[in-house]
Amino acid sequence: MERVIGIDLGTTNSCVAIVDNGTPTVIPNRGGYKTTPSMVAITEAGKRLVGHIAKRQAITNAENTVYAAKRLIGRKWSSSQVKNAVLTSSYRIVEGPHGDVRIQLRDKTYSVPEVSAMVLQEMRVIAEDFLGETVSKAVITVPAYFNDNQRQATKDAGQIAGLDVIRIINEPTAAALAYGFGKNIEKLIAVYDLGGGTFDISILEIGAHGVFKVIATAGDTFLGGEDFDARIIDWLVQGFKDQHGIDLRQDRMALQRLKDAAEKAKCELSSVKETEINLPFIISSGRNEALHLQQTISRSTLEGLCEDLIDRTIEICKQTLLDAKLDKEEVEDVVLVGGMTRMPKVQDAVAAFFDRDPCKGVHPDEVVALGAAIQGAALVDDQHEMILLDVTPHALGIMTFGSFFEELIPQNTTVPTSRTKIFTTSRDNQTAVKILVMQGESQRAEENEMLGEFILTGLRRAPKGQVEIEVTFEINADGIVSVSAKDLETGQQQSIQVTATSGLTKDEIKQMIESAKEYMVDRRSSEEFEAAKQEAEKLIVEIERLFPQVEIVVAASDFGREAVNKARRILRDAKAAIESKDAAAVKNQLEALARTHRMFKGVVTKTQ
Amino acid sequence: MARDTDLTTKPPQPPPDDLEWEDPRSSGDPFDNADARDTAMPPDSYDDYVRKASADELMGPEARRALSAPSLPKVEPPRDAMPTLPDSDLALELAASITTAGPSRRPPSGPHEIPLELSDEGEPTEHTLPLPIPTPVHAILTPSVQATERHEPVIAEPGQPEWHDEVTMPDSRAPTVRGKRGLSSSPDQPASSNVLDDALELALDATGDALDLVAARATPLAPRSGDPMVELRDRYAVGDFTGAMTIAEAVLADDPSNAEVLRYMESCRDILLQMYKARLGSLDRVPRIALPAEELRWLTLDHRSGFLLSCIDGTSTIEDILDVSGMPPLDTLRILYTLMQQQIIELAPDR
Repeated sequence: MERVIGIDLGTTNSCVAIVDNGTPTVIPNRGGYKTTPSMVAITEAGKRLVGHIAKRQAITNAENTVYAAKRLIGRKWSSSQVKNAVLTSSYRIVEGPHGDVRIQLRDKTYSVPEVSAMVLQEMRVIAEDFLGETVSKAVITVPAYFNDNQRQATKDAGQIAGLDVIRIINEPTAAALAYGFGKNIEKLIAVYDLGGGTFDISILEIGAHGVFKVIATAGDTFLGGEDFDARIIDWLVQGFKDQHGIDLRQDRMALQRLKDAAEKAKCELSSVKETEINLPFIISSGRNEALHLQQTISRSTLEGLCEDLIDRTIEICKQTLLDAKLDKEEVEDVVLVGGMTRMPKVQDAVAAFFDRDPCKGVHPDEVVALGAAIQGAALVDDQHEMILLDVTPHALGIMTFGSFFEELIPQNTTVPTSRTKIFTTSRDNQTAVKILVMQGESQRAEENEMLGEFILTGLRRAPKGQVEIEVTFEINADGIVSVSAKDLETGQQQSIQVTATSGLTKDEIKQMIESAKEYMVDRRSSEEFEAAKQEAEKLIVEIERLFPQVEIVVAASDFGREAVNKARRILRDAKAAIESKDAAAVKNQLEALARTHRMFKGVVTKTQ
Repeated sequence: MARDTDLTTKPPQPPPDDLEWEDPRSSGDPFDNADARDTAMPPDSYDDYVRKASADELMGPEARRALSAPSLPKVEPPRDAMPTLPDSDLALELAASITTAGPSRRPPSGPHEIPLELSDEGEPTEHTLPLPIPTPVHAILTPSVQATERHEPVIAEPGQPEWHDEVTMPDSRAPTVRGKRGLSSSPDQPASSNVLDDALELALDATGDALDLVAARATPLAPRSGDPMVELRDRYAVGDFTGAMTIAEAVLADDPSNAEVLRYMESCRDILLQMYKARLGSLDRVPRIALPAEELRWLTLDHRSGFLLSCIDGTSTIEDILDVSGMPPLDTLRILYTLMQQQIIELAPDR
């Protein structure tokens, strides 16, 4: 049975997990970290950096480092979120050829799914390195509020990364899955997710037979751990300015160090009461001497700095319960997700609001990926009884006169489904109607996402309200939405099939898949070379160390001299192979080197 | 290797026929203040200087250690590129004749090679750098050398350019005129494989301790001509690639499209990059901080060095640091190398 990995593709960090012998497990990356920053950068030399290494240069190479690509995925260039991102991002966001969003890095433009694919590819590599086998199937999580286009774009990203995305699931659902794993529970739970860049609160109903229903979800896509870091940075910068009259923000290197130190201090303050931030040689003063930053920050200082941020999350929780017409007493458990929920003050605030201690049985950084892995395992294992039903993430409907949104299929409706409603003309002698298919929850049509449009013509001329038009929405098991409009009097009908689009054409996706494959081939061959090179170099060093002793031993015999000469040739050839960066040639030399090493060792051992 | 008395630190006696080699102390040019010069005139007599230097009056032992020549990794060049080492006696003879000859007028262009790098012990280090072949070195060729070996004119001290900014040795004007190969002043010519060997081997082979080496390497240049292009070529020719780059940058600030200067710039950068890469060894090596954290703050470092130190976490390779530093690779390598020289960091073997 092929393994399925679960990927939490986060705004700031990503995580990959797998179910191993029935136990969901998070896979650490090469550095031993269980989460990997969702950052991609291109260096001056054109080298691609993904993960921690990209994060470490995110400020010094800000223009060419993409972070929070998730905020852009599947969005149209014209959307307000993109406009906001254009103004606030350090990297360049440009309009794509299909009204989509592209990101300019150095001299190349990348689509957002392509950038996300780089992160997914990294997660795939982490899993493959850990498992020692190829991985091709994945379940990827997305926020509950993602619309069809955003989900499709995430799917496309997976495809570009060489993954068969067998299911996209909601992050709170994944968290709830991990929370309920191995338990037979029916509960109403809240998932409070305060990550690096976003905050989400979701109310879920865990029903019998593994039905997980998102009852309400809300959040702030610009509120997360980075805002907490920013507060610490502001505090440090101001303190330094007061002391030395120098604004550290003017120096990118200083800012990079501040950012790293602030994040580290923030994490430390979750377990200790105070910590020291020590950044020697942070900046050069006007007198050409380097200044040091040394500051102690306490947990209470941090809490004071970030109080309003925590309050904001609680306000959103309040509003969400209000919108869902739920009392907080009805919430039976609170699951904490995201690294920021480790902060004691956050836990206290959540506990105070919900009047209960949050659940501490799940790891906040890993729970979403674990849930995705559980879902992945369930999908390929017939023995699993758990069924996770697909529901519509957002309501579907049409725009009506006055720019109102008329809902036909409510949010969280289990698919497949079909709904019909009758509409009438909005003015006298109207002979055509325009059907604008939309997705969202707002009553104002312009606040929702438009999925498609078509026109039904040939209507009978009549006073407004007399001609009846039947509009039908149908979603099949594959999630494809069909919308039809029928003049009930004449029977004339028009319809469209709405397919979610990431903004990329099939050809573009195909091309991106190819270039991602090429990148992987290059990467793998370079890794192969490095491994062979290191092995060869180790043997070369050992042989060279033994050489003088062997030369003394064999000096008397012609045979020995010949062997030594041969060993010299082997060393020379191996070095030449390393020099030529030819993995195959280095591999070819390994056996000869190993033989020589064995021989030399034998000679030296015998003479001792 | 043969060792002899130090032949490298005596200030040169400009020959009377060298019109371009004026004694700055007697000239009225803006550089007549010795303190303002890159490579200062010895304020004392040579003998006084030697006495002070040997008594550690000029710099402390730490400074001497920090400024001592690099311990270079042995890089074995391809077999066909192995330089033919000269017979040591012959080489010394050549060196002696060159040293005593002193600078002469700028010679015509011709093929040259880059000088060999040196180790702390004054050992030459084999190199396989694809270095450009400059045209002849100015002012230091002697007819006897040219007659002895065609196409292998004498070189001046090899550039240890990064030290020019940091080290001002009292006797630094003394040109070390040794070895058998010359330098090019043009970045256009193809690289030669036979580089970096005997000249410096001889120059530092004598008796030199670290101080001698520094003195020897603080290459004197021809007097400033006022024409930056001339100075650029001169510095390039004597292997002062950092100096040449600085001048090139200044020229390019006024004339960004100057093709010749751009070529020099590119060439200098490439050479320096390779030099530092060779000195640091494999880019897969992992730097580690060699001092306790509390001692770091007492060092005299700039913020860029401080930043690079912050990038050293005991697991990142030099290549990783190059990627994350956000600085030009040459600057990063130069600083890492300097930190290694100062024993602030050490390099672990390949990851």
